[in-house]
Amino acid sequence: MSGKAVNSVLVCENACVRFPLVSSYSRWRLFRGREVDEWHEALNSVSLSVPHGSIVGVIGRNGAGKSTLLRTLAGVYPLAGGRVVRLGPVSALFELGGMGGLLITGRQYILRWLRLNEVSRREWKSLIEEIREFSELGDRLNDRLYTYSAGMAARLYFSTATSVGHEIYLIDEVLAVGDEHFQAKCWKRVRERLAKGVSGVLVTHDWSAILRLCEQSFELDNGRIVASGDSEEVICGYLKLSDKMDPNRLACFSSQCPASMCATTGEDWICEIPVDVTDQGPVFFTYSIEKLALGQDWQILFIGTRTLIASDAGKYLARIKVPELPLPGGEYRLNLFLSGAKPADGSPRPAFDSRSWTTGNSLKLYVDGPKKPSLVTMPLMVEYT
Amino acid sequence: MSIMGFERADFRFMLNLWRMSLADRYLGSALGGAWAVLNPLLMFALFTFVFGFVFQARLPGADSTMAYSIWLICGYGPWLANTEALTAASNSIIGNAGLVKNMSFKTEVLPIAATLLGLIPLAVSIIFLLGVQLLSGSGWKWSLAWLPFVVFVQFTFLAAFGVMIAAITTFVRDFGIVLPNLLMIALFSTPIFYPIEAIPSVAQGVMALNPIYIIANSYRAVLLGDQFVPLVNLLVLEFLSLGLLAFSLSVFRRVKGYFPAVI
Repeated sequence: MSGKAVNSVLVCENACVRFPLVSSYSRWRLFRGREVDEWHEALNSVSLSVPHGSIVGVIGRNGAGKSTLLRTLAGVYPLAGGRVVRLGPVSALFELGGMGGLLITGRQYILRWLRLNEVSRREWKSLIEEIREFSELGDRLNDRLYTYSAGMAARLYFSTATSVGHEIYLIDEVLAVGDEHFQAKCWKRVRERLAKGVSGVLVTHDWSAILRLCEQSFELDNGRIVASGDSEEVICGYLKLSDKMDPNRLACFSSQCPASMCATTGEDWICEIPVDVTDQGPVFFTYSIEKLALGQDWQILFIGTRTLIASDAGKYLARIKVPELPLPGGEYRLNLFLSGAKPADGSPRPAFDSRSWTTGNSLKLYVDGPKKPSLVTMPLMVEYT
Repeated sequence: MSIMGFERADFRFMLNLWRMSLADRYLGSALGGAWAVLNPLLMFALFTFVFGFVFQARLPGADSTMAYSIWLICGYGPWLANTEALTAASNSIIGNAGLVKNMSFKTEVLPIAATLLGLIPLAVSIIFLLGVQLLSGSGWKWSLAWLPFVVFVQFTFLAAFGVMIAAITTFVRDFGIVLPNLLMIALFSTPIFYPIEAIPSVAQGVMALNPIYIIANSYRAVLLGDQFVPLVNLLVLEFLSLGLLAFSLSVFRRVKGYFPAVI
């Protein structure tokens, strides 16, 4: 445990947070220090650690205690038990705003934020300019906040809160703000910060965000951590995807299907996937090889063509053959799909089974070989005139 | 170094909060900060009219309304600071719920920063009084040298009550509703509009122990220079206030963990 704590920038051990459930009549009892009969256990013995240079995801339903956890990590909520250790300045990106009403102008908001966060006055001018540019508010910065649209306000808050580089970021759903253009900018900024080696916690119920940004994740339910580990697996458990498959489907991947496989760069790679077909009907097979670029997205490297592999009941082997495998060394995901024929009425093709990161059961493909920054090197010709 | 559990950074934070709430106080009104000056002047005019002209109140030994008016403002100006400070303090936690729930800081700086808002009406009153005195020909008085000390005692006293009131109001909102009435009762039961000689002599001895009276009387002594500044009383009040402030802070720190649950 102590060895683990050394590399972590944020550690939370057995954190308990509870809120008294009191009516407005019995609040007086709280003030007098009397026993409270009912408590809401918002966090129950939650332990997690954030390794240096990575963002840890926390997913859960509404009211699971996600926001409470984030505020506890930031030191806003007092602990009823356990402890939280922060090794570095924390930037909290939750429930933005709150700098005293909507009567102030955007610029005043920034000034207040900078002042309360004790940013050195010498940096103010450049930071305000930077926030103005990033938020794309332009001259609207001099208007009062109540004239802003929800998206504009969110842009201002996000730009301000991320203007100063902190070491630990606690992010609560804020990436879901603004229009798509601005969301893309937010992502870019988070990626840049991530590249600089910041750490943090991302709390959201947008599971795709977690898959893109976090290697490790936790699922929170009723104030407890109910699952932890690889984001992919945690998300799948959270979405309960395994339950969504039709048990009477026509075809499925056999249970003998391997969970991982190995290959070598430049050598022919062949893999065989056992498929069980239970009845008559066309079964198509396709595959893709993808790689997770942290903070960006899953990058599709190969997509196989959809191939008819069976039209009657029986046990089959789907064979993938890639001559002189052009993948650099590293860890990839092999996604497999089984589907039926496209119906004549134009409705979507029936899906029989899949092994992919979206369902949390993709196959791991370890490629042995030299690591390269890109898959192919495109020749670049520059002409001087 | 820490004073009563506050570090240097906390005092800086307090100052920033003070500025912020000062701006919030008058934000959104057309005349903005001008109200900080106009409001006290309006009240001075009102009370001068009611007591000086309608009730024809006179001070013993002086028969002009002007003398009474100056005497009244010497006591009532500092009282405005009490009202402003305690009202702001009572709302300081609830009104700043956004900060309390989202930022990690010592919440006890909120009521203290709010209390210091009382400095504005106080400054307006004192500047107004000194201006009037200058115009009416009376110059520098050495008693004015005690002014910073009196202000310091008053704000220690106010901070002690402000912190406690902020904690109570957060749990019992009703307190915020009755506070203006309580302040009104305190104002009229203290010799601020009338001289202490106007109350029965038995009560005078008790009234001499009233901290609000001690403060109001001290301001009169300092600003009018016609009597000795009650230094002993002030010193005792200062020590009692410091003790009360320490107690209020300990209560506040005991209950502040519950704030997120009740705001």
